[in-house]
Amino acid sequence: MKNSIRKLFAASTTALLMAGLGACSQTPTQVSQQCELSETSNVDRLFAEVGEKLQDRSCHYSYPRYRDQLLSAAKGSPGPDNEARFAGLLRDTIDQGVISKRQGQALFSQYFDPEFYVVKDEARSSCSSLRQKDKLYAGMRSELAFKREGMLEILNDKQRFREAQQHFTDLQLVLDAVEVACTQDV
Amino acid sequence: MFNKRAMAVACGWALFLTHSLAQAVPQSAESSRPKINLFPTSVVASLSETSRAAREMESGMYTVVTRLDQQKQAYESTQCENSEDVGCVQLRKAIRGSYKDMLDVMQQSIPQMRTTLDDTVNSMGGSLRAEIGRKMTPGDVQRILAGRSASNAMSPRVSASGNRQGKLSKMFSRYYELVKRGGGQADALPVLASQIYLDSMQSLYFLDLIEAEIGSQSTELVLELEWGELTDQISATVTDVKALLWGDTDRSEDILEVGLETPPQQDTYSDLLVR
Repeated sequence: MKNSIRKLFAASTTALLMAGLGACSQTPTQVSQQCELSETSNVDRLFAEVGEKLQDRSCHYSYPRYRDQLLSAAKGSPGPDNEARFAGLLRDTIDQGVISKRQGQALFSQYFDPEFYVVKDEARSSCSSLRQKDKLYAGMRSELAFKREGMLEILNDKQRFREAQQHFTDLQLVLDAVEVACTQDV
Repeated sequence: MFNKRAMAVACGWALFLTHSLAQAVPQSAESSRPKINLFPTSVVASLSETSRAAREMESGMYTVVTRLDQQKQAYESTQCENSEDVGCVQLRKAIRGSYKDMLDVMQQSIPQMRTTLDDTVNSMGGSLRAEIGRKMTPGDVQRILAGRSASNAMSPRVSASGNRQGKLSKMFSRYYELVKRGGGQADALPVLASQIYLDSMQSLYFLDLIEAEIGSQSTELVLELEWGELTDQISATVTDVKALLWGDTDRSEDILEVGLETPPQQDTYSDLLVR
């Protein structure tokens, strides 16, 4: 009796897995046909196209690709208007449930906010956080690279990138001092 | 029927209150930036004391180090190295004499300087640890740095005094002045506190280095070597002393600009920015 239950369970699990794998392999190919973006280099048109495609739930899978395409298109046409374009699109994608609000905030902050999202995300006290200072600094460095992309290459806003760099320097100075002070107590 | 209506009114009020609270939270969070006191009286007092001790040490050292430096430059520019020329031998002897004077002055000044620097390091370190290390997350620190506009009013004022002032005393007297002038705004200056702390530690490191070098060279040994070549150790000690007192380049002016500028705030995307 036990054996037959085990066999039945194994068979149904295999069938479910096969069905799941089949679904995974089929969805993207179907999606890629109808969710493809045109070859346009017009940034406004491309943002509008992405907005339209994302109305279709089956195109939600393509969101990461859209995001990369938009980032690269915006770099081809840098300027302050790109911030509003990205903000509009992110708001729509949040409303449509493509990404969560937190994901949207993370993306927008990483590219366009002079402050560091990775630092805001740290919930522990400074003394505790700084036990993994290398990890925090690595996160800040990679976020600074995103900010360089967002502020210089996409918005062409040197002043804002300088602010981000200033934040980077100030934060490292303060956190270095705090780390030394915390370890002196031990 | 009445119960249903009462429930609906209650739910309506609950929703309204929740909504109001949700709107109120970001505003109150904005206004209640974390309050810290990085510069208690003990820190201000030790800064003042360090500044005074540094000034005393420098005034004692300035003449002798300048003389030593000039002698060393003359020695190098006249290619006296390995020369037995009478002038070169005399110059070597004079350099050693000045060097001994410098060691004597240093030996007398170091203990007091160390005590005051130790006090500054301990009090500033204690403040940083308690006020930022334990009370705040790195995100709080960032929020304070972002709201530092108030501190702009106290940008460093260049001393009008024409007196020659060394790096160390200048640095600490500027710190002291900034902290003193900061008053109630001083809680928004973690950058300044960090700079004071790290500079004090670096100065202590130089003092240790110099003391170790002085300890390894007894004055007798210096005099015994009257006819020998100038050692690398002498050059190294002089370099360290100069770095401590005057530095290669005087960073004391630009250090304090770091982190004190006002970044223009753009806040039209508040829903997409985490505060």
